[in-house]
Amino acid sequence: MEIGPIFRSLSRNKTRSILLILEIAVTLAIVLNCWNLMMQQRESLMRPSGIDEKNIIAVEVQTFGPDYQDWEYRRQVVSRDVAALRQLPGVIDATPISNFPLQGGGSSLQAKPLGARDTALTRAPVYTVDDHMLRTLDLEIVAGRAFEAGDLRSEDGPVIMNVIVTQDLAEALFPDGDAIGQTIDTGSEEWPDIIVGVVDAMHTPYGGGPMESQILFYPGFASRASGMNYLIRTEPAAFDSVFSAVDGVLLESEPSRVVQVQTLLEIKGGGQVISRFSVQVLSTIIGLLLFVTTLGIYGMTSFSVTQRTKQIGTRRALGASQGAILRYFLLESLVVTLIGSALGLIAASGLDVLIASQMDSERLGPTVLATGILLLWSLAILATIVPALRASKLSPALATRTV
Amino acid sequence: MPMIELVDVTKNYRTDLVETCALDSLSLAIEEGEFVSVSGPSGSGKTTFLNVVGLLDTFDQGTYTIDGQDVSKLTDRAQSRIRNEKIGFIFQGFNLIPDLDVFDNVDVPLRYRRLPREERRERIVRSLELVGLGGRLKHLPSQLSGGQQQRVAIARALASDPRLILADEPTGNLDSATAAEIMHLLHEINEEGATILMVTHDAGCAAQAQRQIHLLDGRLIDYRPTEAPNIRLSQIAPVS
Ligand SMILES: Nc1ncnc2c1ncn2[C@@H]1O[C@H](COP(=O)(O)OP(=O)(O)O)[C@@H](O)[C@H]1O
Ligand SMILES: [Mg+2]
Repeated sequence: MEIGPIFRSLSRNKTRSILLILEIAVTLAIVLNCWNLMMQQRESLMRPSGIDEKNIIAVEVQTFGPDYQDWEYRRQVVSRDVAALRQLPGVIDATPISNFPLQGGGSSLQAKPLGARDTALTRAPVYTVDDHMLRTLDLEIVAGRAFEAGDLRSEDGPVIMNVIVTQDLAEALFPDGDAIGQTIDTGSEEWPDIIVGVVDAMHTPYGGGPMESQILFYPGFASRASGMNYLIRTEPAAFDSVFSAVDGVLLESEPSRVVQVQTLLEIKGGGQVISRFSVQVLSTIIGLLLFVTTLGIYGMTSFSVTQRTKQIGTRRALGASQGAILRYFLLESLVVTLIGSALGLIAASGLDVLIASQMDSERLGPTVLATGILLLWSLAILATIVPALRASKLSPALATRTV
Repeated sequence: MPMIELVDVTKNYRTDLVETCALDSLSLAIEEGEFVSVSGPSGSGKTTFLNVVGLLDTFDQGTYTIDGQDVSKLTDRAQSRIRNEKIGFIFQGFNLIPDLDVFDNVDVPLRYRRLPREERRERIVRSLELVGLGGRLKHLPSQLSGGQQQRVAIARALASDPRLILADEPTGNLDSATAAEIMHLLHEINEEGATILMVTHDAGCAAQAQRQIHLLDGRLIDYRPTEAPNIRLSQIAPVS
């Protein structure tokens, strides 16, 4: 083939090719990493939450006044509220909860097996819920037991707590085996927590990374002086009627409150805003870069065809068929693209290391690499084929034209 | 059978404004081994004639056969192959590829012929030695004088052992001493058996050919089919 002369000819025209090679390399490095991040965001968006999100109502209650400064008072209000909500026809179950899941953040802490080094610390979203949590969220115990009434705190202040973790968190903390009965340190060695139950999968968006499914549940009457949140799971048919009945039920017992009722799906939508935005931004960057680089390759080929019409005519006179001219320009652009891709791969790995050191993300994998490179090559061929076809159609008579 | 035979070949150039008849019912036969010069004033159709003979351009009417083969029926690939194997081109502007060194330039037609690497190397070195440039393989065209560049171009034309050499004003861009050297080289090539068809402005160069033809407005003037026969008289067929 013509690779040798093409390579030598390119290397005698360095300025022309080097810019394009750099453009391809930079594009590939950025596109591959953006793509990788985008796939993770998309995966996070697509991932099932593991809870019965369609049939859950989220209630946010704002409270006012000095009474609510008192923990015991709040405990009574929360107990009364959830009892009343559970009485509503069509309600499967209800629980107080410290933060709404699926809202794209919330509260998290770092946990490690008691006595382990800090390197074992694993970040986990954390929710305080009561002993009706499993049925309300539609989670299942896969090891150990559910929360019982006795697990709920009976007074404010530090105590040793029984906790439930998701299977992913159990495996992250105790990769070698049974997490049930293990003690974990969530910030105080004096007051550790004991894992009493492991639930199946749950996933909540939390800015990406594995922590989104490594979730920790505390038992309690989740409340603050400023208010409390409830989740209510209903029969599908009763969802609307429960939805409209909620604030009446809550205001009946304690009228001086503000009750905001939402569906959990609405909350989930809000929680995905950032992820959706990231996906949009990342895909726009990818699209623009690929477009500009395709244009660059098109421009270079087009320019080099226009600049070399006489040479093309001469090559035709010396025996090049139309196919040979087409091949020549495709090969030339392929050589440039290959060199650019090789540099781009090196740059992409560097960028990947940098990103991984800054955030909790997955590393570049072979799927993203292969698709990214194939896409770029297809675009390169597409960008070359039009001017290359034009070149192949040029008349051999150009060889003898004097102007 | 003449190597080249044109019968009533007509070629028009159409642009938006004008239609130029560059070849007007031209009929001509050239025998293998002849050295023919084509002269005529500027715009008389010399280059067009050479393009048609070299399969670089199409024509509108008439027939053109090379070695008995009607070229208008051939595919692009077959025509390219004839140009590659039978014809060597020499141009007024040398037409070397500026990004390639002397060796690679001479290599161009040999690669299109898909010859093995060793054979290509032998042919390149042999033909460059023939034109006296055996020591300049790695030079770029820009590092050579005009005469040297034309020698490289001649070596490139010779490397594939063509039976027909087509030259369009090969000495047009050279001083007279260099032109004389190039003419000498062409004579040597002709003596080796190659047929030469040379377009030239220069009356002195034209006079060195064994047979001269003159073009005016796309037509032959003073055309005598058997003027200045040099070899194999018996093979020359009369053309009416
Ligand atoms: N590509 C072209 N398009 C239009 N007219 C052309 C073209 N090439 C040549 N001609 C015209 O055809 C005529 C013959 O041109 P050419 O064969 O180049 O003559 P010569 O080589 O004898 O100077 C001229 O009138 C020229 O203007
Ligand atoms: Mg001319």
